[in-house]
Amino acid sequence: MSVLSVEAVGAGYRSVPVLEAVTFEVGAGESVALLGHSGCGKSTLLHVCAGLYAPTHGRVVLAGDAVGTRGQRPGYMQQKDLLLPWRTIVGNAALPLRIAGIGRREAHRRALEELAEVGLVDVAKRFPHQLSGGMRQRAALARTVLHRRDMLLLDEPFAALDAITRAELHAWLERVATMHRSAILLVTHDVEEALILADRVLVMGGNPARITQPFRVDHARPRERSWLLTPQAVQLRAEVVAALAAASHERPRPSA
Amino acid sequence: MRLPVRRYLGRLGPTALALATAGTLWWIVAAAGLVEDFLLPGPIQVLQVLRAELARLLAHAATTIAAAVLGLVIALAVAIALVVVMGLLPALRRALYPLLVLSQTVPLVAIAPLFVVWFGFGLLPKVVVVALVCCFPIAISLGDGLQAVDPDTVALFRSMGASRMQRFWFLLFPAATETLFSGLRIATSYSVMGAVIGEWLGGSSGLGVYMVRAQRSFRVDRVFASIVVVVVLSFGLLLIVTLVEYAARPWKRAR
Repeated sequence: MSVLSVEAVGAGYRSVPVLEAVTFEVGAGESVALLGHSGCGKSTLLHVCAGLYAPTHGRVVLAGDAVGTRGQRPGYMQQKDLLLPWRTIVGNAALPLRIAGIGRREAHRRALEELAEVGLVDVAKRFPHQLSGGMRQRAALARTVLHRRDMLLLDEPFAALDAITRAELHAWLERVATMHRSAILLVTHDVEEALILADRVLVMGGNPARITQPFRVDHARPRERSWLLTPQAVQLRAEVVAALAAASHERPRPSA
Repeated sequence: MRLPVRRYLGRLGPTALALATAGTLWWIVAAAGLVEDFLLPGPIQVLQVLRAELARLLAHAATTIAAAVLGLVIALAVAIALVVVMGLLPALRRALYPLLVLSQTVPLVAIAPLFVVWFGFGLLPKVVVVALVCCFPIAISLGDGLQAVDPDTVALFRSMGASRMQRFWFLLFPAATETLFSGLRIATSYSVMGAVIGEWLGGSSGLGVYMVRAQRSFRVDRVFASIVVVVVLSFGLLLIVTLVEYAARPWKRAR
């Protein structure tokens, strides 16, 4: 059964179409990566899924209801941590609960519980600027999970981190997602990141963008980085890179 | 709350040295008789007058402080109201912003006497002068804070389903206070001066009134004594604002 269902979605800015007839589903606990070159419309698609833009065609259904109706909004996390500098980590994590109308004390109690589960309880009373980039992204993910845990939209969440921290956070994300049985829709332009984290990789391209080629990653998650060196992974990687190259050839088109 | 006293004391060294140097120069000029003492009294003479006149000066200072603090509070309230209204309605922002700038370009010396005609010789015209001077820097600093809000953060709030009021209380209001204090410090340092200017124009008490009387009886030493009081009062208010900021923004001192 799918958590998120994107049904023939089209979107655009000022009558310039950006997305066309995008259709896919994300199953419960499944991890799907959207891969494409910069500016191809991946983030626009994620914005539509988050309920930030209304699609011009089609619809996005989350747990049976259209996104944005009846409080149906998936957890949404961006590349920037967007932690509020005047709130402590626990205060930042509690923000979605406060917005949901839960009192301060109860919201902080539940946020602390979550921070304890994801290994951030030691820094709960700190302010964001006192933390490293990797820790701040963890706190941002804890905040996302406290908003909604069954469906997480992640918009290049680790792109600003160094390679070692990124690998640490991949492993950490898998732990958190397994613990909460979260489904993930991950936007990235990093092929390795997609292969490490995703059950399926959807390559996007064209103008307006659509899904040009889907791939299945047939290896149980969580995956070790060393798996990337196996013949199976190397082969898959080559196919994905080729699909990406083919998709980006479709890019040039005079703007309307 | 532990104040970092040691750090501040370390920083005070150069300040104390500069003050001492300026005072010494002043004393040398006066003691050497380079300038007549009815034009420039020496620092020791000023301190003596200050001691003799202290009770009277403090009574006048109470009036001035009342006008300065009241004007500052009104300026803060008006600035917050303006920024909220301008933040919610962009059209009103375009309408009000030029007026706000205009209020700063009107020469106070020309318009303040009119306040006396309009509002009489009591506390009110002084409060109006202070509020007029102080509103602008506070409003500008608040507005800058609102402008600095990251559109991505606004998108995050929308993705969490935040209402307009929640966005205001959890995001816009705290973001505005991030920059508020820089404007509030400028306004505070103007506030006592604004009250004194208001008092020059007439009234029964206040440091400005005292200054005018001292000037008219050629007691330059008393003028200087009252200047010292104005300076001390301004620094005192500034210190209070700094302490309030220190208490109100714990994330700024956590390193």
